[in-house]
Amino acid sequence: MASDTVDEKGAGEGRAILYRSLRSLHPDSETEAMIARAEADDELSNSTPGVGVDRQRSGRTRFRGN
Amino acid sequence: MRLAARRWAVAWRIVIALAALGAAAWKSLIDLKVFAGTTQLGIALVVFPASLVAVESIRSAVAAYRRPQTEQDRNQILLLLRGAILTISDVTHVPEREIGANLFRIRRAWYAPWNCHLHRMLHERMSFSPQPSSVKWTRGKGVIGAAWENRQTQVANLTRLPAELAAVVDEATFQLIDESTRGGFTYAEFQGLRGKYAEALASPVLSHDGTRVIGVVSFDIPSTVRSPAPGALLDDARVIGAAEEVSSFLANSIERA
Repeated sequence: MASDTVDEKGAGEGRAILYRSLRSLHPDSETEAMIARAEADDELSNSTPGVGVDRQRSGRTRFRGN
Repeated sequence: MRLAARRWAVAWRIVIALAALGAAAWKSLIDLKVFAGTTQLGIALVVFPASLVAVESIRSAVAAYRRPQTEQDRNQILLLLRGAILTISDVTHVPEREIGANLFRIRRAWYAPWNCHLHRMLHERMSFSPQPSSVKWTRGKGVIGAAWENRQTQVANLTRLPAELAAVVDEATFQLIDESTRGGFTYAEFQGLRGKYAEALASPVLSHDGTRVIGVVSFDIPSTVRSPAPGALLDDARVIGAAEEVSSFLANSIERA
């Protein structure tokens, strides 16, 4: 489970860098709204497992093949 | 729209215009008693070209109505791909201009709905080289097709090919390799990709209900990029997290396309 935790932490960092990049590229209300929705989904799914999970992200994997 | 599709669209319009002109001329000559013709033929000569023109006009009107939304979607896709490129550059220290990004959506051939392939909606790389490949990506083919098939993000180190593939010198030696090692590529596709990229990452885009893969987003680093860890830059949780977030954002644009 440790690798899951580490990977999720890394993925969270990646998402934070992405949000920063998007804000720098196009700082408008639509971008903010899109990011706010994603952050709210993250918050909800982290605080209440199984509830509020953005189903679009259900395809995420912590492990990769090639 | 691709060049071939644009040519067909123009040819189709010319055919419709000529058919309408020909039918109108023929009808006029029948009316002037130059040619003999039945009433049914006269009606057909009016209704048939009028139907073609009506269909084409409605199609054009719908396309014109949808154009602003299409432009908006294109800009949104571009923003997300560029955001991901900046993120990958930030994490891997590969210059932004080198990183390539693509968005594909699954398309069915109208004449054979069971025949699905990935249609490239947008390609983004600041540098003009390398140009996007001409591979027809299908389910299971390469890292992009594998993301579609497995519904999971795939990362491939392309600097180290399996020994059999590295030893390929011609089509005959390529055909001797088993299908799973060939990754679904034809010899021409393999040759076109060989040595072009150091690594690639592909992430599936799922439908809103999460039941279907509707597209794939991919990122690549060309083999010309100098790196202390060639082939291992994209296999980073931060890159994967950002790519999967982008793929989830892109679902709307694909579903509207």
